[in-house]
Amino acid sequence: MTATAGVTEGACLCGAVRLTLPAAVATSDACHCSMCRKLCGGGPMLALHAPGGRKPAITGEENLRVYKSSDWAERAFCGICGTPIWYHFVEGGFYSLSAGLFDPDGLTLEKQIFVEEKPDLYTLANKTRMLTGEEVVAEFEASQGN
Amino acid sequence: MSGAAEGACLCGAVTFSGEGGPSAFWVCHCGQCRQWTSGPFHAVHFHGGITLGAGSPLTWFRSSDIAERGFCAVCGSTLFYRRTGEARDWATSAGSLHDSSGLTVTANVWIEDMPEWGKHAHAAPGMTAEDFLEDRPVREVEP
Repeated sequence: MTATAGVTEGACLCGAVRLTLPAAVATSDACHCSMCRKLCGGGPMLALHAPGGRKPAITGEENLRVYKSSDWAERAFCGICGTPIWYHFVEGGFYSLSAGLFDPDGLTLEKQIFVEEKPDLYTLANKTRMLTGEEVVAEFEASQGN
Repeated sequence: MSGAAEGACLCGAVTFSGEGGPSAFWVCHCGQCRQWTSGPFHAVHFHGGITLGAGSPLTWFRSSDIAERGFCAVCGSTLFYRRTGEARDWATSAGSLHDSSGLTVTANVWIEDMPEWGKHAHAAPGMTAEDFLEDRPVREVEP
């Protein structure tokens, strides 16, 4: 994806947590896994990533609540309004940021992941790459040089 | 899905039962829902409303003059939308239901705010923001 202006500033619904991406958005995806759908109102988690999945600059970090959702990942949300803020792959240090914090219209959704867990309730109209959980893990490990 | 529907947040601390079977399944594309849940809110309504499990650590956030949003204080799951103070009739995240099979979208809500980004492919009747705020029944509207 080419660098896109206008999507580098984001905030939760109440405004207590604010993020600034260190550079233009690098990648985007929609995760259909059941954990993301529980956290994100029943649809996929639509996410943006800074280059390399780096942590964004944050203000109001004291308002974050962190929930350890698996042996390898944490989810952060605003303790005041409940807005999901990010998925953090702890070992790899990768941050997947809720696209709802930003104004992503005009971006192109690149891929859908954990497609084997997508329910029949909805289907996204965007034509994207479709990856199973196994394929996502393999792609991530390859990108890390493992 | 028929009859009572059980549900819970991701960590399991908030539990609830949707009573009397689903009456509607709305997908809301308003800016607040998309900010709150990363994309549109997939909201199921139940004929008999919601019964919350005892001790559920639910936090309500007043998101507008007319509405509140409920989430789990432990894991942050975004669970409910209700008109302020509404006792039982809460729009409930489809993702929190243990069994959501058989649900079909009955309306796209706040359709004027639906972005291309993350757009849904399902065809369903639409409601404008005004339709929603005026409690008008679902009707056919041009997207």
